[in-house]
Amino acid sequence: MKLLLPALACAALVFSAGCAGQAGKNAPGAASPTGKAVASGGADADWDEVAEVKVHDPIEPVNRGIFWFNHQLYTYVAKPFSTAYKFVFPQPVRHGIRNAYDNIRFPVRLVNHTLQGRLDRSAKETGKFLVNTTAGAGGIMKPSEKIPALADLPSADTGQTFAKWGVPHGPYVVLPVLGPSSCREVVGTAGDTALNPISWLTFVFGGAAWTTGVSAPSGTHSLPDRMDTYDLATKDAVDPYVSARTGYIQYRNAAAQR
Amino acid sequence: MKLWFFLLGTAMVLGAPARAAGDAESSLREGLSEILAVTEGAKGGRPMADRLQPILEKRICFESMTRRAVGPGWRQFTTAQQEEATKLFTKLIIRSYSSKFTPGQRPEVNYLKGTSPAPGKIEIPITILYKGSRYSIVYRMENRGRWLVTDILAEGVSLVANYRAQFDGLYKKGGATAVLDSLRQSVART
Repeated sequence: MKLLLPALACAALVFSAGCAGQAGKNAPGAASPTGKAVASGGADADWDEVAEVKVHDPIEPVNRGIFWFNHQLYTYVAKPFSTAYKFVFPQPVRHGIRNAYDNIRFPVRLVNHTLQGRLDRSAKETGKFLVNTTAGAGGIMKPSEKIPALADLPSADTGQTFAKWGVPHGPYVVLPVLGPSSCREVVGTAGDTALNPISWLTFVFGGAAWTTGVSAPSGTHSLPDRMDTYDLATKDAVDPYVSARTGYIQYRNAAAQR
Repeated sequence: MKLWFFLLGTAMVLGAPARAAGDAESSLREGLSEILAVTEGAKGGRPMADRLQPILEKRICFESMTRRAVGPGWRQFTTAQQEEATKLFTKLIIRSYSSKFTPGQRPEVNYLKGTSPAPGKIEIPITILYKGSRYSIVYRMENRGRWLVTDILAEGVSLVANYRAQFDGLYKKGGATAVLDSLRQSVART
């Protein structure tokens, strides 16, 4: 719900012709759909010497401002909280919570595998859900990890489905608190929210408080992992903003290719 | 007899990429085993980066990584600037790579089939199960007399491409001096 307004605004931008193409197309030197660099010619240019990722960032000054704000928020609020949370809840407990929420999000993956035409993956996803729900105590444990056919099953979400359909990223945006995204991914996140059973509680019980209450532990438990990822992307960067931006776009492009 | 030579020649040509993949994978396996042996046994004492440095310097071609991360602007660097950039970038990458490991914890590594995008180059994907999470890593390697790592892609994010994007803006603004200044600052930051 909190993403509805930015999602609508971004939907208009992504699906309009104006912003399409600049980030996702294979301009010379841009990352190819496989994530491999495309040689742009020249005597000593080769497949990885021109590994360049083009990102369409028309509102960079605004994004940098929000990135700065988020950095302060992560450094002075989220990270201390995350450290305390890790201390109180040991890793197995945190993983159990993560696994359970991940299991609940099964419809997001099932619908998107299907929309991408990957019916084999839809079938495997269903198998994974059944195995983890029954043998994994409602999804707290992941016995599917021990089954080779299910262990490496790629995830699927609405942003990836848009990518498969050829929808480009559109302008890169940094969302307050949530961090890096693109117009396509914002719309995708809104789609994921709609497909997430936890969101359905709002409609069943007639109030967003239910959804917020049930999803709060999910946000809390994922905070340490998100802070670790943020650190990985920015800690040893020479320009943390560009590092987070390039890393995010590469990550999403690769996810869409799996 | 002619047929025999033809078959032998064909077999050698067809078998070459597979052999190359095998050699590269052996080299990678050896390197990762050395790294994991160090990280598993490391508790207290010297920082992880110091312990891993000799292994990483043996297995990774930092000169190539730095050159590609800087991009075409590299040609405008003086020899002294290239050497300093390589030294600083090596330090940064070793520190960054080493920080991913927690002493005493050994990840479960699964090697997948490598692909060769060009002769003398190979990409070896692996999956790592570490602290309850599964990660996808691709090692790009090149044969330079021996197989050396020239890029690492974690979940599709290329280390070289990521730094390339950062250096590109800096180089356009202030040339080699700006790139070196930012590298010095990053290395000095703890």
